Amino acid sequence: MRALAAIKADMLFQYRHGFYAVYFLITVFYIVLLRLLPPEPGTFLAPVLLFTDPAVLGFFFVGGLVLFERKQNLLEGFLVTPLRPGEYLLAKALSLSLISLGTSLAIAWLGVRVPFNPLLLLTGVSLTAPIFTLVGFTLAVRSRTLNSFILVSFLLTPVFVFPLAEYFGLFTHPLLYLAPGRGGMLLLVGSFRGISPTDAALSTLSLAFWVVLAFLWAKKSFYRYVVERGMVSW
Amino acid sequence: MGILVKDLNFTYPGAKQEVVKGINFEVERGEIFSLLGPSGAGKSTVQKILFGLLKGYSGTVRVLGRDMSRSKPDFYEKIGVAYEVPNLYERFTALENLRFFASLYAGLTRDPHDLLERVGLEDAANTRVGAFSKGMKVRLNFIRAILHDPEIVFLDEPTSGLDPSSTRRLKDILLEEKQKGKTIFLSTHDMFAAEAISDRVAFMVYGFIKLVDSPRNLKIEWGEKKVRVECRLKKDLLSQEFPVEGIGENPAFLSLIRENPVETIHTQEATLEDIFIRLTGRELK
Repeated sequence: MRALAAIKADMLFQYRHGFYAVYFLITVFYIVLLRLLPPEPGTFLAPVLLFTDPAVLGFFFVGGLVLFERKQNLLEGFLVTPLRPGEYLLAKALSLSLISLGTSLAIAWLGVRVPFNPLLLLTGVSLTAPIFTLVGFTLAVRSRTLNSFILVSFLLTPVFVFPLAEYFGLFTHPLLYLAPGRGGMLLLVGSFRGISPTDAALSTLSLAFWVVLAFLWAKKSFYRYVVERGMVSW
Repeated sequence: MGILVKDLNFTYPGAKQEVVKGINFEVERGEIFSLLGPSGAGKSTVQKILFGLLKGYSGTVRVLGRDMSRSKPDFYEKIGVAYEVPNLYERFTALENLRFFASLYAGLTRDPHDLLERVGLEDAANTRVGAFSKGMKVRLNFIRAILHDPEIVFLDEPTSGLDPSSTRRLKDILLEEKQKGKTIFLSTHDMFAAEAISDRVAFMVYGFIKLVDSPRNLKIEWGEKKVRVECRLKKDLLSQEFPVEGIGENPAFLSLIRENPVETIHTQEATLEDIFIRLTGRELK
């Protein structure tokens, strides 16, 4: 019940702070872009957009959310209510992932003019988005200023770069299986071009592993930086 | 017992100096207790320990019978906290804020409309908090803290930003809560607020608690035991002081009040602020 209440509040919070409007505009932009391209390059580009969009937005939007919450002293207030840190994080991850899911489906349906496997797409997006949201939260509470948050966000670049580089055929390596973003990319590509059941299962497992790891890291950071050290104001 | 603090010491991780230095106090259930002290005295740290947020202390801290070094999240069902700076969603209405916070509690919560009315915010129920004045936010933040009918209400600088009539309303609500057996813990540097409502006050400075007593006892003990009489003699104001002891048989006092029109008669109690300065050498602000 508490988690559900927190998700609802987060969604209203995001709506009132204009997050939905921004997502809507970006989605429309992507759909128009894909529509303007001929079908073949469009289908090639679609997984790239669908992979980077929830990842990048989830990451930066959670940074924005934490910033707004700090300014309104909300985190400090939550600490003395029965809301658990895990529920707080779950609400962040789920509410932002829901937007990603909605926009991904819209982009895939309206922007790409080839059939796709919605189950693979939904799995890929719904497991990729929480990783970036949770890591974004971890880095946001550790950052003293907004600028330092943007700086450390570059640490995440490899997570994007390796799966994309592999997709563009630049290089590949067996260890890439372990990279947090790769499973998401494989599932998204697979949703348009097909994927072996083994690869789909491995990708899903790898993503699930990273979601759990990101959740635990975020929870630890919540205790260390929010509960114990108090809020660092931006 | 509402709160028990025994030999409490606390040092922030990585810091060299203790911020809380061996303090002791108890707060009974149904008592209004104020922790008075200037900023930097260690009041916030004590509160964070009482909320179960800071665990690495030494000594004993029990709140509602629970050991605060091992408190569980369900403890927050029992306490309500209003910080000095309100914790509210600026882009939610007053009602949306209250409904959301109410939904975090397992037990029954009070009717938000009733609470809004108690603090004069009924007309602002559907207004976004971002459009509120500081005083309105403070009032909303206060009722947010008592929404779930907590056993202990913690208020940090509760009168900050409030006008006199709002302060009176807040005081009335707190006295009502006390009547219902609730414990109220105030933390403030506003000695008027503390004096007007507290059963007992504790003076805190530099991490120490210097003294715990009722405002009445303190004022009597530390005041000068004198009565000041002011009389109007034609255009002049005559002011004279007499010892309280034997005042009924003091001929000078009796003849003064018999033969002249008395304007005021007051015993010369010390204010809490005077006592605080004399005890700690520091001003409260």
